[in-house]
Amino acid sequence: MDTVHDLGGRQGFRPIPNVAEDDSALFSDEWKARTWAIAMMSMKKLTTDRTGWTLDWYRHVLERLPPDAYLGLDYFEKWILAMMVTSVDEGVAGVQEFFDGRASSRTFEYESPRPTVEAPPTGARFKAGDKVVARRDIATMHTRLTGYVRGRPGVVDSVIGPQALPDKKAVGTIRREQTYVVRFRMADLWPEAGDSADSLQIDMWDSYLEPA
Amino acid sequence: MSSYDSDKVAKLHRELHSHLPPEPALRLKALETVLVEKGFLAADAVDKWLDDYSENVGPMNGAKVIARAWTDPDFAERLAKHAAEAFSEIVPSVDKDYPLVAVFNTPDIHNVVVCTLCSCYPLGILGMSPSWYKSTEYRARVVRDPRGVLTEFGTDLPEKVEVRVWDSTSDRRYMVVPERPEGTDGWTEEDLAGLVTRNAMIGTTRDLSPKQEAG
Repeated sequence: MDTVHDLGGRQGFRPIPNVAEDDSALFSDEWKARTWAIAMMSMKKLTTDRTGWTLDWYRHVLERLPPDAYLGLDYFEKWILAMMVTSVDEGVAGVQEFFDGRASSRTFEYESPRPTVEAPPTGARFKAGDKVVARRDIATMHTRLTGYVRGRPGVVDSVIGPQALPDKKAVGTIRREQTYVVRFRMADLWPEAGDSADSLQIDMWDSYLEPA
Repeated sequence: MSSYDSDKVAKLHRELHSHLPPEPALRLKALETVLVEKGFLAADAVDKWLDDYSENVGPMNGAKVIARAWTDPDFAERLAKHAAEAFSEIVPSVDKDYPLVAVFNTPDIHNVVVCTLCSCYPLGILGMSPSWYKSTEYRARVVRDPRGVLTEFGTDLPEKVEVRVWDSTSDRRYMVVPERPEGTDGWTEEDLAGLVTRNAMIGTTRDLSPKQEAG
């Protein structure tokens, strides 16, 4: 889905905030640290308990925040909502319990947990140096093919190794395919780049590419 | 199980966001209280997790590794070839299989890292990312106008230096290895590590020259 999370190249944004932020503190606020810890522990538990939960599905949950909330909320505020939604979706808690700020029962039961399934890996079609074009259209619910490279020509810079395709992993199927670093000339991405020698390197799955 | 139902979760977001109190600390309290009372999370787990995390990860891990790479060319080569393995020589808690890649600045090349889709960062090694790294402004702008963005960090790049922006969309994580600044001959590794900043490891800072003492 082409939701507002796909931000690369969007124009009209303000200067970068907090550029002078201090390195010494890991988190700027206590609530952010706790949000992070709760999310990390919950993800580990859902993975261990094999409910079918995957990081790509979680990313999609974040992407389905209302667009104005996605752009307006702090990073960790988004995570609080996404963890609540995840808890409800998995059967761990109910919406009303979060409104009440307390649990109505002392136990939970996952709603029919179903582990992820493996699908046969696909073969690699490209090697370093190959000229490629990023796919123009993609209809999956969740994808990691960014909008700003679609339809643009690039060159395979290096081969990374097989990784599960996010588009499938987001719906519980692990299908590994080759991944690559693909190099795009800025001049092939942005009209104002002119003859700039600067470049953009991006990780891409095999099925996101076509031979040029 | 996970429903993989996109519209269902969108509806839940709207319901929760419009009825919960707006303060993030209150929302967090509701989340933590419910998950603990349900027995999904153990009562003292959050504090324990945070203690462990702050003990083992943080920008100093990267700074130590970069200082070693500056003083030991063989190590720099190992870092370029297999970053996590090289990391684990210096920081034993680092998993040798962590999918980390170190990209090296040179006099002609400057690297800068972003995740336009969600803010991926090597959190398991370098700790939490800076808040600007997670901002919509940085995610939107740096792939299109890297030189303009770097200027806002006080980094003005000469035209002849090529900028390489890395958009980290897969499981792989990137770390920039800055150049060793001039005027640091004979420095100890510890002192060198003190020069390396989190911003330099992302690539928004290029020059790590020691500050001149006034007077």
